[in-house]
Amino acid sequence: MKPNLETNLSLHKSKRGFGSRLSELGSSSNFVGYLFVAPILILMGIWFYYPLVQSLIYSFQDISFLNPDAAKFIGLGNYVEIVQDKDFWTALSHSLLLTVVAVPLQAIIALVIAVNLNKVMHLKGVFRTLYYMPYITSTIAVTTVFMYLFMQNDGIATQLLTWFGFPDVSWYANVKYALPFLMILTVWTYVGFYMVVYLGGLQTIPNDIYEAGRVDGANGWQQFWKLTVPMLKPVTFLVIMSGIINVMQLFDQPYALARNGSLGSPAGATSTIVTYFYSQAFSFNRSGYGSAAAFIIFALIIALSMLQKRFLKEEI
Amino acid sequence: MMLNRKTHILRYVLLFAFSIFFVVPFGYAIYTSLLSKADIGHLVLPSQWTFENYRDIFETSDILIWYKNSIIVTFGILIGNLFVNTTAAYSLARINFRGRGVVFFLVIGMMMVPYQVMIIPIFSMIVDMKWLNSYQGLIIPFLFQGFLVFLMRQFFLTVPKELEEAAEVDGLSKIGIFYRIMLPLSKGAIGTQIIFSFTGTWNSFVWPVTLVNDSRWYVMTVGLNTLKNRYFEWPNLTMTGVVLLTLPIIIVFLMFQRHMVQGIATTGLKG
Repeated sequence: MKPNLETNLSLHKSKRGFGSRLSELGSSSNFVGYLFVAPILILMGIWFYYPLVQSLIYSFQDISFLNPDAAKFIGLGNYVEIVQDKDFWTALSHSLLLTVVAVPLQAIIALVIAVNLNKVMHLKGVFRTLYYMPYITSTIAVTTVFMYLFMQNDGIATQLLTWFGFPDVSWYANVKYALPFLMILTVWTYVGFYMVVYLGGLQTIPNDIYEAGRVDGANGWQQFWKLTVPMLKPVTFLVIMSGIINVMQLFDQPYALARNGSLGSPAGATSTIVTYFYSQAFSFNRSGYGSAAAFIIFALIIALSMLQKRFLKEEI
Repeated sequence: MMLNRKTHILRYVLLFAFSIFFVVPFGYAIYTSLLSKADIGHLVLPSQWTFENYRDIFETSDILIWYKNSIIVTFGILIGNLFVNTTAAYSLARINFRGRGVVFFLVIGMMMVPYQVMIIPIFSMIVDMKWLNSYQGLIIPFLFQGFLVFLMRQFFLTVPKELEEAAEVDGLSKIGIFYRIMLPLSKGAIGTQIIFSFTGTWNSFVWPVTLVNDSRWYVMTVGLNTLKNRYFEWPNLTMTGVVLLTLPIIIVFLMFQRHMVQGIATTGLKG
């Protein structure tokens, strides 16, 4: 690539003293700097920040996809209506329940597996790849497979679980078991990913800490609790944070398991805040109301991550 | 020493036991896709396995078109991402232009906002532009990704500054440095970008299901979802769809998995 005039100039100038070179480098590289960020600035402006502002405006309007010209401002009307909608609270309670159960569960399993995998010599890569595969597999494919595994009569998982006293039902279609089905699905999907994250964290722990621990007479179990777990605290923070975001965003799985029924099937048992948002926006065409719901999700995620941050800080 | 060996064996027992949870679902999908209608739900020998489901699904559904759509969309977005994210990341890491802080904030800020906030206006924009059911509509809004810019920037920050300074003394321009020095050095980081972009797009569902309503414009994920709803009574057919949707991603993953693990290690996590 030919250097252009502007950068050529900077080269000539840069042959002078170090101080002036530094300051000139700053101003003359402005052009290349802008040139390189221009594509993302343009794309971001059109496809991210413009819609972001637009959505905020919609959220204060009574507006529908079907007749956008009839929009009128109603202030906080949409937000008030959402807060008064029983379905919203049901969906929110499902999302929170999923988060509270699935996120710690997947973090604990991921940590235990990572610690053990980190210590073995053989087949390490094979195990890691196998556990990781669900995370890169399409959510629709995974949900489809799990629906057959948890089917009445024929499902392998359903049959196994009847030995533990669970009924022989199609879990995904049962009002009582559809949400646990989603939890199992979620943990299964993400556990391998977080295991790899923990593996990365384990690699950063210096070995001499363990040696010192051994000298002090700490056994394996004590080493795990007194050394590994505290040292991995920043990683755990990331795992929990990302877990909360992923689970609060759950949508594809309930969409797929509803089959041709309405979102949140059976009977709203698998509604999440995102399926609530989506059906308001795209089934009922309420773009204003949907936008308000989107901003509530946004606020919730920020609130949850701040809460978690504070919680973790206090412990340290 | 005895104890050590015992814990070692216990570790393997745990890892193998845990593996069952992963082998069974994947195994079930592959196995069922090879069964004839009469054999569904039974254990049969490999001699009875058949590929007729694969033939049937290609003949009776639009899966070939969905494959084509998925490939075009995935590669379109991938190429765009590599260009847009990498140039932006280099600029943000290494060029000291005025307003850099603001641009960085705008890029990083995107990682905080869930897609629900943008999808309604973007749907309206796509409708207004008559891009519903089109490649443009499925590709252009997704050519950039804050997370991947962040990932590339983290990488560029680790490259020693002396390298660039030496190249500058040798008369290379900033653009020359980017192409001749930085890009060849960042093969690993670009590999990470490729796998994240590829898997993200190939598996994406909510956007293509929203921006397309004509089955000839479906991508594989949306196609499989309709296939599953239509042929739910025939697990051999739906599992064939599952295998066909999953196979490409597994292949790409095995090719690039080293980079993915590296990417997770350097940036912490995908947002």
